[in-house]
Amino acid sequence: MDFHSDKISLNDSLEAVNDWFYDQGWTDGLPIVPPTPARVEKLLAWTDRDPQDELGAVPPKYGIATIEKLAVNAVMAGCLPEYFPVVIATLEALLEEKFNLYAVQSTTHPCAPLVILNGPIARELGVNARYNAFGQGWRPNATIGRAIRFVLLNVGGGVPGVLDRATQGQPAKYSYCLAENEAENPWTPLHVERGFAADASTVTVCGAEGPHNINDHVSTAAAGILTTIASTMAGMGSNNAYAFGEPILALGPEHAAILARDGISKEDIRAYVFAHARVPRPLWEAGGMFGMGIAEDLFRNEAAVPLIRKPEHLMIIVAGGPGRHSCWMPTFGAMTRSVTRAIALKSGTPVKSVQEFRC
Amino acid sequence: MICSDEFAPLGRAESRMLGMAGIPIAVIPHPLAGNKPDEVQRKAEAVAEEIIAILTQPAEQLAHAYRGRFLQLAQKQINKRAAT
Repeated sequence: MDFHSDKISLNDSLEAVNDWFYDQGWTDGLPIVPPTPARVEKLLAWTDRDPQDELGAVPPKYGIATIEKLAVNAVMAGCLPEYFPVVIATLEALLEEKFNLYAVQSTTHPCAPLVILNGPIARELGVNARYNAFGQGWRPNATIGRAIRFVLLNVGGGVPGVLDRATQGQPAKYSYCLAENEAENPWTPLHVERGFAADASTVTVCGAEGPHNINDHVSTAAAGILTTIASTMAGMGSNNAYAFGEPILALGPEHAAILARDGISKEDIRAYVFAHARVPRPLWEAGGMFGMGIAEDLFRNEAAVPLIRKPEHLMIIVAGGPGRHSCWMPTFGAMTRSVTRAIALKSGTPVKSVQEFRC
Repeated sequence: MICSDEFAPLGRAESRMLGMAGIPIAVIPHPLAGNKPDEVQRKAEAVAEEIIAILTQPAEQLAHAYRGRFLQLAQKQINKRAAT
């Protein structure tokens, strides 16, 4: 295969290769899988696109994301070849204008692209949606998000402290990828809410903080769980408290089951959060981002200010395994919007299995 | 363009992408937020002369002087990081 990337010869040892890649600033600090031509070719067999097809320019350096460059970075991240269609669809989603990747990459805020998978391909690839879904232990969760981070670093130029200006960053900048637990979602899954067929496979990206735990161990009815959710979210420290946007609520299946059993819909949860996850105005005006001219005029006549401009802006998924925990992810605010895309052939035709990409 | 010193390399990267690789960037000490009025005054006075020069000197001369300035700074930061 005729690659356009530079070919580099190094001593044939894992240590030498890793030292060299680290010294170039091309890694996340962890060891990489050396992107040999043979390994890159294996990934390229799982797409119907040409290696030199361009997905777009990745800010803030605006390097061109070719399929070949994506494959190199996905090999480095440890992706299995069959994960590659997900990496491609995720980058396409990140490059949609409304995601505002420039801002997400270069801000001082600790946001990272959260990748949520829905549909049969998530199950086919074994993307974890249950126990420890946001944590370690599953190869697709760990490596798909890591591949995206490497593309943002090596194609987009998001070097920490240089063009990635995150003041503190967060651990999710290593990888931030999970599947929705559709099997235990008593309502409609995220992709169906967004107009996709239940058997479509999608990626949804959000510019999000890490998960903030919502622990309600004692409530046996919806009212208590909703109270705990709203109380946890109602603080001054998130961008959403001043710049709104689409924060994400990830309900653990046990919390979701209690809410659904008591007749609570997703719309009801959104209405409750809109009404009750609020910061009292005097407190709201005492710090945070007050006075920066973002949205001070909204809710001017309200005694307390919500985290979302409209109830429908709260994203809700079900994630995790047994236990009494949910979590929420504040986002960068309205400066970024979530994007959902189907995992599809180059023609735009959605696929039901990654096997359809074999060429 | 006016940037804090911390953000000048980012400003230069963005200006290059927009096809203005040589646009002058006047630099003030970071941070911008949280400054008391006397600090704002001091920072403004320190950079005033450079801003006047940017507004009055020929564009080509300025482009020549500013084109590579913050790219080198960015590269130094990368090298420093790699060395530590």
